[in-house]
Amino acid sequence: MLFNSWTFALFLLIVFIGYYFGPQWLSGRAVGQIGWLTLASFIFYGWHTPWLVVLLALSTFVNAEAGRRLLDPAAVPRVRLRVLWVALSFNLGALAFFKYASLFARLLLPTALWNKWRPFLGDIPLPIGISFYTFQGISLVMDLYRAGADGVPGATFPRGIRETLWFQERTWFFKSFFPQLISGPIVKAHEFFYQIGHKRLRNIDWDGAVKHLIGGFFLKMVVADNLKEASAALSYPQFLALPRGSLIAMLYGFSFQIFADFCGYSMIAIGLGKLFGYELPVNFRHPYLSRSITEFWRRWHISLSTWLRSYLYIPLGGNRHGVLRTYFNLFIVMFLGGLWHGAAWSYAVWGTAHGVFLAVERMAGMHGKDVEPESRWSLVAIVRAFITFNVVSILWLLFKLPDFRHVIAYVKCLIHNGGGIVPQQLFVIGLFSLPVVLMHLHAAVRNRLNRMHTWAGDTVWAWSETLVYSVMLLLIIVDSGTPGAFIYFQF
Amino acid sequence: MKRLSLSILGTTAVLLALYATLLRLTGLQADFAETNFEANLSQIYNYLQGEHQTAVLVGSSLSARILPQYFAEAGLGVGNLGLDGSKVATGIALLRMRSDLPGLVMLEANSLLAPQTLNDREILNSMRGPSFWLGKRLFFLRPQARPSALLYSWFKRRRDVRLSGEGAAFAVDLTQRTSLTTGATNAVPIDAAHSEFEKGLKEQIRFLQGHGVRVAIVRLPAGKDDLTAPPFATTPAGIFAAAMGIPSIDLRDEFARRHEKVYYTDTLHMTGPSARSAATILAEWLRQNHLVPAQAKAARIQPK
Repeated sequence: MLFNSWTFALFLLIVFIGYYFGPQWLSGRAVGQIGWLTLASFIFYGWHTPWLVVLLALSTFVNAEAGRRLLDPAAVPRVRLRVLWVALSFNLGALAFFKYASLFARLLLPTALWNKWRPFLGDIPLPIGISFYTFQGISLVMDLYRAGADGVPGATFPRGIRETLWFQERTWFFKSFFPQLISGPIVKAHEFFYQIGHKRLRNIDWDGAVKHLIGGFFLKMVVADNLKEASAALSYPQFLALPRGSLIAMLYGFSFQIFADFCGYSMIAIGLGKLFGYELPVNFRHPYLSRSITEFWRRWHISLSTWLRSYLYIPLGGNRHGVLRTYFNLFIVMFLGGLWHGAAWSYAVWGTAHGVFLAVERMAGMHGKDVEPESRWSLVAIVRAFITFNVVSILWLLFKLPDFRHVIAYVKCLIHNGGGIVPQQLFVIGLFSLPVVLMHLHAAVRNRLNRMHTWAGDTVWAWSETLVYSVMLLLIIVDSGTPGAFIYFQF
Repeated sequence: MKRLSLSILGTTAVLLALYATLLRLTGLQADFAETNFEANLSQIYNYLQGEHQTAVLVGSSLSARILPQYFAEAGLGVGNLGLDGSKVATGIALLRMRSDLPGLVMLEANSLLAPQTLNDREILNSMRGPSFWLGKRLFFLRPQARPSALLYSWFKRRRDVRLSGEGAAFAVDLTQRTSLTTGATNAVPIDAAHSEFEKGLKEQIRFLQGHGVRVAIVRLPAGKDDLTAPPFATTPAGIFAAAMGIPSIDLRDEFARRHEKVYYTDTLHMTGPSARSAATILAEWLRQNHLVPAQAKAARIQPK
């Protein structure tokens, strides 16, 4: 079910009413509310492909059971380690089978065997959101393993049937909460379990929810969906006949589109979470203001980069085992992070390229020196931000054209095709990239704006804010683009 | 709800009312849209929500350039169902969504025999949703009222005027055609699926003719390839027209006869002035061949 569909609007209304205004047994206690939301989440997930709920249920059950055993105070370390390995193997095995079986079989199997198995391996469907909910499952078992018998806040060892059922219910809810189920933000167990409980209508952060929902829908429906058609020609063989200017404009158009699409999704998820009384982590902090690739990864898909740091980079040793090992760890994390996005080598190359930049920046001593955009912008900082944006945008090419031959064809076209630009494309990309540019500029001059706030007073400031959000809502109503799925659904 | 949320909703309602009033008072409406999808929806709304059309031009983006106002200047009322990236079969399906059929339907030869694609299905699907239903009732929700489309139309009209002469992306002198009178047929081998499609198209046309609708086929100029393209009569569309006894016209021949160059904004689509000439030529041809339908005559059908 798409957030930007009428079906979802109706679904949300029903779920919201049942959650806060349903009968006492449903809305009066945490058990009823959590059960209702979990049921709704499974319906949401299986709306188009019902059999997928079986996979989600199986994944949830295995992780919940592993979590329960990890919390058992009677479990000795050897048993706990074994439980952890079983759970990790299950999670990674499911991901490997559904997402990478075809890729690795083609690489590892002899040609004759590959040809024999191809009809089966090549047709394995990719369950939507599997990368996200698998990572949440891993987060659950890792957090509980690390925490030991004490558990994490909100998740302790259940005693008796009643507590076990309650623990299962909360774990099923954690794994399936529909706002972030399909494309994140990836929630860690220690960030979420303590929030689970009975929620009341009067405690809703309405302003936060409305602002996130308007901002998110604006980025998705007005910016990303309108940019989609202009950058659609950045696919093989459509781009072959296009002039050089169009090829370059489409690359930047896609750069803005993917940001608006993914950031929009995350903002909608956060807004929906607030409607049900839950705080989901921020996923984007104006990534195109980054002055280095290191800073970019602190601002782009934050829930993934912090996940990779917590559950991969640090367990691998992080930077605690010398320089060479640190670079190796960086390389592995970014390689796997790239491959996480899709079963194609271009994603791995994309991740590795980012890893190389991270390593180079570390060598140059640029890591950890990032400053917030609110601080002063020097000419050097502006130039660095400009270079970083261009590097990131060029690397998006590997996302848009996952076949290397097509990337090479694009570069050849860039060299050989004539100059010029398709005016319609220029118009669309120029106009609909503008909100993203303004959004970043707003963050870059926030300090000055805060001073203006003091000077203008609260009333004027509140009205300006109201006007900005109202114009965004107006544009959602009258200027949305062709409705379509979110880009990150394919991952 | 908190105060900020309520004031956002209230202000949006006021802004929406102001915007709708502005559009109503000024009559502002976009002639073009910046994306194909919106341009197509716009054409569909214009057709389905507009007054009865005595004649309609059905086709792809090539036809979409020949605006109703150009025909009006030539003294003829012709609606436009030229849909970007779409095929004639989709246009005919749309004609049947109104209860009153036009007296004359001109089918674009360039996309006549091309089967429908994903783009066509996307258009027809979008018409089934609540958004389209709302757009039919609230004019400010239609693509013609999009602020970006209004801005784009303004830019495009200015650009088309600038491109009308030497500034065009390129011009084609059709008197230089290598195959004005003779040429090889570029008929493609017809497979079973295509044959089925052609059968369906014939049925659609016969349905129109059966309800008293006159049908004509129009070959539009379409870029540099026209210089080497075979004569219309030898192409699959020409053969199709002859086999069904449908009157047809090749505008490339007409432009050549008049020694008038065709100007293009890109590699395919005519500029405003060339599209205006095309409308004039077509209007004359329709009059000469007594194809212009009577104003009041409209066949009634049960809309699909």
